[in-house]
Amino acid sequence: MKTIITSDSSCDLSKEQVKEYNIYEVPISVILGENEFKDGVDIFPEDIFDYVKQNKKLPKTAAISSYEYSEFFKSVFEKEGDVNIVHIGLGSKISSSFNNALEAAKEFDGKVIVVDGNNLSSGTGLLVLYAAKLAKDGLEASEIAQKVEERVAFVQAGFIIQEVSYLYKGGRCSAMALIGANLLRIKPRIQVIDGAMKNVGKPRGKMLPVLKQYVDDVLKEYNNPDKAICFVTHSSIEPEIADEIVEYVKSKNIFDEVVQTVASSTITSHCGKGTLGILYINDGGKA
Amino acid sequence: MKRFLSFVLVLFAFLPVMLFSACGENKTGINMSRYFSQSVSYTLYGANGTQTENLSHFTGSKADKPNKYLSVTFTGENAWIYKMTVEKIEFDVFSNIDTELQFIVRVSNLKNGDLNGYQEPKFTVPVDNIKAGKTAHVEINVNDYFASNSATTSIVIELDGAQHYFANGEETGLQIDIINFSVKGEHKL
Repeated sequence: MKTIITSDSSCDLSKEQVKEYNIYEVPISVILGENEFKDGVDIFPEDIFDYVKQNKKLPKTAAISSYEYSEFFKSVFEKEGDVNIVHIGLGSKISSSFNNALEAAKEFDGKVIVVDGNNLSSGTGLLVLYAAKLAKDGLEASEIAQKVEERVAFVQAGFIIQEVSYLYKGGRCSAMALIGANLLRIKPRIQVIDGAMKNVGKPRGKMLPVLKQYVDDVLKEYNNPDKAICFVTHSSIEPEIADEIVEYVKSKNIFDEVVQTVASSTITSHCGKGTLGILYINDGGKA
Repeated sequence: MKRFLSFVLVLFAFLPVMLFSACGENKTGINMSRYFSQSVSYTLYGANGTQTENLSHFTGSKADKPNKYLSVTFTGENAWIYKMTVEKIEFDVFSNIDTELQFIVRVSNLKNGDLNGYQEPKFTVPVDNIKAGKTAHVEINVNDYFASNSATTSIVIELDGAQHYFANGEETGLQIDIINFSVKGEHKL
């Protein structure tokens, strides 16, 4: 039976990839003040930046509820007919969306399998894309889920954060700490480790050299990549910097494809403007 | 004899009050342990799967289990809660650091739902200026009733999104607790 792959709006795949592989995405809610929006439907990263600039407050996100998942899965069955669904969304250690998806899946008598990608952004996207390729090859839903689960632990996802001021706006660091971070030009490096985010370094300096050093460090630390694809995902960093990092990754002659994607409003709400990461599966492409 | 008559008169005078109190479902708060499951499920930032805690922790007044909650789900006992009118939901939030939070509270199985026609409306609840080691009180006006005796009835308090616990490359250190959880309502249908 045909399998459809679904995810949520935080998986940060490009529109072309979503279209090519017929991937369905359920939007995450982004809340600005008292107003609620649907990520990628009626809110986009630029709206987030404008809101933060004007209000000095951070946006919030809301998990996708069981009810919303149930309606979403129903809509996929209505469009696709008698199919199975494999859903891979935001990791369970980051959002309760995963547990809500599991709860909703119970309604569909085994026709919806929910996989915990244990990741975020295009870290999830890599798994979604892999699942979609397997679905295109005609594998059954249970086989796809199993093969995806085998790769979850190998996803290398990390970012360099440009704007520490987001922390200040959230009331979570003092003005002095913010001034200190800016003076020292600290650009925190975070890594998704076992499904949760960890600070693994505080490089200093201008963004471009910091990013190039970060690329070198990641490729050295996670040196068994699946060479098929590497994502360079960013939250509206300056285009020149993004392009230069894409070229820099390409110049390493490791990956067949280096894809630049822009982070969704959900991811942007979390990390602020100018965050950039490189993401790939570090299992040597055994799959 | 006079004393006995006075006693009978006083008894009659207070009888209505005593009867109403015995019902225990007035707007000052329902008997939570009767109307909700003793097992409350929750998810935590940084942890896999769903965990459970006894209802009494969340209805009690001791904030002695602060944690990195993403969601706390109270499940109604349908046999009891069916057709109960809900006026408001109240709880206190404890935080270990100075912060401002924004909760989403979802209530399922309501008759009227929200303005968009969803039977599971979301209430966005900002809680500003929570001081470290203190609690802030939250009140949500619902003014609806639980409509079905077969659908799942749940109240979910959600603080979703990793940004509460990890922001811009740093652990925020935030831990919260939900206490004094109560539902104000009555059975009048």
